Amino acid sequence: MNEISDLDEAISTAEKMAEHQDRGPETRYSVRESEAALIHYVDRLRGGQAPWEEEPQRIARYTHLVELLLALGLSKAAADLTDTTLRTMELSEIDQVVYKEPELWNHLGSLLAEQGDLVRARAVLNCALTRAHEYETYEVPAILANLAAVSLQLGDPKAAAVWADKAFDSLKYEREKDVETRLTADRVRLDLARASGDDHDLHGAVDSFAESVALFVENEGGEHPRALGARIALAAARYDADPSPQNLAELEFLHVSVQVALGLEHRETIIAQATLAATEFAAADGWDGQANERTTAAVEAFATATGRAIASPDLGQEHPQTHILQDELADMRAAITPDDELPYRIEKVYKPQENTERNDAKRRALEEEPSVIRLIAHAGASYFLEETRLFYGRVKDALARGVRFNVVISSPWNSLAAFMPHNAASEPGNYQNIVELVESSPSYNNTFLPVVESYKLLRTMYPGRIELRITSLDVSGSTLLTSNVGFFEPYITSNPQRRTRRGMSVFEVEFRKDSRYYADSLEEFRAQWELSSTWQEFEANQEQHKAALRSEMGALASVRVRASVRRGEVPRP
Amino acid sequence: MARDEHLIELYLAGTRIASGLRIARTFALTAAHSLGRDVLTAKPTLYLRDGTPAHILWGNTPSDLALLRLELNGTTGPLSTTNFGEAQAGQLWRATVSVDPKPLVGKVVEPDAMYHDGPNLKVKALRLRCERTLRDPSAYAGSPIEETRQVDPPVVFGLLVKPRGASSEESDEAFAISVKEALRLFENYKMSLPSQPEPSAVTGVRKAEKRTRAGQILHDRGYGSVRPQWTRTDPSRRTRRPPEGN
Repeated sequence: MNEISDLDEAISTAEKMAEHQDRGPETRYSVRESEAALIHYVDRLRGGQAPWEEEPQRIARYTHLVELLLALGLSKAAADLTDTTLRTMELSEIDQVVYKEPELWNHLGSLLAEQGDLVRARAVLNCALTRAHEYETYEVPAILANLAAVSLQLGDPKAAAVWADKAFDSLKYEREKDVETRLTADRVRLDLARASGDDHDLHGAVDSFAESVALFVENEGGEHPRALGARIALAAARYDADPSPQNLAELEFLHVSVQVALGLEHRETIIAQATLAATEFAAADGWDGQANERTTAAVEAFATATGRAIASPDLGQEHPQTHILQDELADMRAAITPDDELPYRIEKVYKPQENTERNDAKRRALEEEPSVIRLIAHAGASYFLEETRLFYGRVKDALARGVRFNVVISSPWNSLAAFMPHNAASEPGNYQNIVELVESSPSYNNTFLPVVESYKLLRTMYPGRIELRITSLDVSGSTLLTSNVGFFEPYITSNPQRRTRRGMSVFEVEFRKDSRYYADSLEEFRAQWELSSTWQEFEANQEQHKAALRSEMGALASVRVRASVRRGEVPRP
Repeated sequence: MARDEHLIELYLAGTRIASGLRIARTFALTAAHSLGRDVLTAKPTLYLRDGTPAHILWGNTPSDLALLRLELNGTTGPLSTTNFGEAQAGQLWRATVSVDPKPLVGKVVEPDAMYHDGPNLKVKALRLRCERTLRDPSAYAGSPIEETRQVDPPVVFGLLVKPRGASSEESDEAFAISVKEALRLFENYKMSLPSQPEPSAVTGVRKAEKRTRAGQILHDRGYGSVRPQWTRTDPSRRTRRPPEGN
């Protein structure tokens, strides 16, 4: 493998590869060699072994190289180079502004969004906007439109609407780029109007977007991938506004056009197929639970699109667009399948050594939830206590954006208190001392009471959005359910000391809404919810719960004298 | 799903007169010459094997193509699973219709061959080499051609049409109009009409610009601005399950 020595050589290599991408098998060996050389060059840049050039014009060239890497499907190298570019730009600006050009930041923000890193994209675009205001450039409308699109993707429609309107108002149509900016801003307004359910808004947005599409097609031609994507979105919105067979046929016809223009694996073709399938599913009353040949075929078509998104180098398993498709597919399947006919489908199994991935997946689920989070847990510390550094922040963010959080945790007075540890000087738990043992235990003082305090504080901050209930029944594991996914971690032990604050000690399964596990977990949650006490009820009846525990301990006295228990061969109840 | 769901057969007064390519639930292509001049002029209603009426929307002799609208009569079937693609030089193909016991297969020689070069209309076609010499190449006209890889659903490239010019001699050369070219021709026809009641294919010519090929590839990718995502319908507006209280 020839080593790439500098940026210009890297760009030249990548450009040659892009130009010869479709030249067939005879170039495959040299393509692999060039890919390896590019990846190695990016690795050396990251490690400081290849020279880095700091001038703004050179930064623009690095950005160009990121684009080329993306176009070549080298997404890992593209992400690494984006990281390195941003990191060095930020470090260069410790003392003063070096990169005044907002287009540099805007471009990097777009590339981050392209790679699915939306939170960082928004931050970088905000930086672009600050620079654009400071140095009064023409870049402002483009940055605003990008901020609108990213905000919408981040689930912030209010901000998206503000950015999009402002972008529209700032357009001067002095540059070709303004046509693309208008298309982006108008598309955001169209998506917002579709979500609003307001017919008047939708018709106005469709008309305006149709004009934007026509302008873009005039400039770039109808086969430009953006034009095709926009025409698909327009056709779907027209069907929303007027659900006629003609409008559905138009969408179907366009889907064929996109396939032959761009190929089956292209990102826009995948989205076109998903759009058509989702529209067809709704048209055939899939959301009303109609399982017929049309809705079944629509689900199959949507599943094909989702599979292609997962396999696509432009999207892939971790891209937010892929997650949206997976969630929609699960919803579609669940809508036309009775709960007891859903398959026991597991999305992923996390073993103890995959604790970080498990927590990341849960964080993502909490971040993406738009309406209600449900939790059954022994103690709930990971969700209520900031010090655990797990999900408290995500829960708070969710509550702040209007999501409901319903939680069931175990009562400290249920029969598992029998496992309460005691020091050598004191008596093991019995009907006389058990309540005092619990009240002086670390789990009660460091977990249960702080969780309740945290709950009360959150309830004050977000009234009506959070409810904690306490169950006297044993819970078989921890269950987290969002609108789209579920997680279940079974407890392998009845000993509460080995259930909480211990990381993962068994395994955890993740499943989507189209799994029987989701339906069963939801049913279990509802049962626990109904059979548990609200915090007020629990407070009022605590003495009864304590008395019940004392009575239980009395009944366990005969067990305690068994030799195996006395020898400590099993944990002492 | 039927493997050959993209293949249709057209009947006039109970007699099979042509086969064709279904490109959507309500649209199909066939070879114009198979219908005959009288049918193209009078545009009688044709029927599919299952009795679905097929109306001739547009027939074009230079391209040997006709576009049909299928009348579904309120019984919209499921979405087709057929994939459509663009054929490359050297790619292997097979005809969906089998006239002989042995299926017709071959190789794409030229994906962008001139099929008709008139003052008002230029038509491009896939120039194909057949594995065997055909006594009457027109006999296969109207058959879809598809990729030979054993994939289900198949990827369909286009529709076999009559030989270029007036030739009907035996030959191992055949021509097919690609789906992409058919959509372009149809769009051109539609643009010439005073109103546009029928669906629109994708056309529009890019302005000539000075870009390198790599530059053009990146420009087409459009990395300069954030690509809007496909978004879901608000679940509260469509779920069949009752609103949940907890």
